Amino acid sequence: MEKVKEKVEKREDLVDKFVTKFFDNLWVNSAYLGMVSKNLDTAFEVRKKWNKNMETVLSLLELPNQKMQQKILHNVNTLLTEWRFEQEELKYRLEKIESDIEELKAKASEQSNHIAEEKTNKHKKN
Amino acid sequence: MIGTPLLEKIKGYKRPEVSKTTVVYSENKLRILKVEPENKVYKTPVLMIPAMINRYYVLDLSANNSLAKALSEQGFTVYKVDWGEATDEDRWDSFEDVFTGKLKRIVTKVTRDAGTKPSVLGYCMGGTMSLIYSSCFTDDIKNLIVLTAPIDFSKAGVMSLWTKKEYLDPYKWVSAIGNLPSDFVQNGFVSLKPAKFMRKWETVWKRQDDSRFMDNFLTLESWVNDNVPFPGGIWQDYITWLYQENRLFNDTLIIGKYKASLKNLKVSLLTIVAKDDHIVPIEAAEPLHELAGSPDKTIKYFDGGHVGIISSPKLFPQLSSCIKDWLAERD
Repeated sequence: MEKVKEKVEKREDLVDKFVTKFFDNLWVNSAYLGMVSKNLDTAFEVRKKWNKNMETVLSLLELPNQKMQQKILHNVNTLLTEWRFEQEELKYRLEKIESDIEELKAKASEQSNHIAEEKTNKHKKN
Repeated sequence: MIGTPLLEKIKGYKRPEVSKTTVVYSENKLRILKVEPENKVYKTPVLMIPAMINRYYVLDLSANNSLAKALSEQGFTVYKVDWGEATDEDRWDSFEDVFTGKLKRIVTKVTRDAGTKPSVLGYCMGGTMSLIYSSCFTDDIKNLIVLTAPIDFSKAGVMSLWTKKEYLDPYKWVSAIGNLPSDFVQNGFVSLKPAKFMRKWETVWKRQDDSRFMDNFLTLESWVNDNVPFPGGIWQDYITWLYQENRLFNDTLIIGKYKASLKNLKVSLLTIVAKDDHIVPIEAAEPLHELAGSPDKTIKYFDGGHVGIISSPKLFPQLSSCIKDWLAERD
């Protein structure tokens, strides 16, 4: 009879299991999550107030409003990007139309040459 | 490197560039990088879209684990999207802009440069974004590969619990801090598996003289720690619409004037799921195969975790050969 090898758990595995279980339980604990969320909310409220005070200080010093500056920069970036892209698109399309026209012209001249040749051949025969 | 102290190795490490690239388009901080194959075999190029929270080079990580290199060696032209590093003013970017603006321009530029519609490969959040894009603009791309991307966000494990409405108000956060700091995202991922984080450093200590192991470890570690801030405006909509309201899965996602319904998908679709993924569990990723309207769709399950699937020397060859074969059949 062959002996079935049993997996012997090392101390490290047990430590890992313990740590994993501890954090798994912590992460799904609604009381813990609620507490973290409340703390973060409070921190963000403080940060918002700080931001507002900073804006007031900047305006008192007659320095530009940072939020407005960011918004303007964002709008400039967006508009510039769109304008550049549209310009390149337009250029691409115009080039394509031009090459299509050239192709059509070449075809038309080829046809007219062919017709003219046929006419001269007919004349010669007559 | 053998014999040098561990800290010196870590400090002195600099990830070498893998594929030779040229910039074919740039706007603000975004760039499209092109990897030209030595011998072009296939006419359809591959456009790689990574997540916005990590650096783009995850798909071109090292000489042995680079999807971009593997595909270009097989004769595919590869384009990589580098989202760049968001600064304060990018906090005003919106989720809608990503699709109707940035991605639309990226796909158009790649199509113009290659002369034909590309196959898109989206990784993680980049996969979800590629799906939303191809649901809105159904004729823009040829094939779509979605690599470990969340679809049913209600089953995204601890992440979906942390982002529940009662615990997190993203709009409040963004109005206070603007862009989401990279440390925040980084710590969030580490907290998912704290035991693994501890054990990782123990293994490194034990195997510090194994130069091959150390090289792989440092390459991956340099990427893992190289996070970028998440543009606030995009993050708040991403969390609310997808995690909290699960709009993509519930078929209620509207992007501008488009309805991003997975039923709209027409492209050939390959869904890749990692069996041990703790960031995007199987239950969160596999519903795509059922929901997608694509007539030609395949789902593949691979061993490994979210990052292991593309970074492990053991698992990577299976993944890259599966992608190569699938793309070659649909060129």
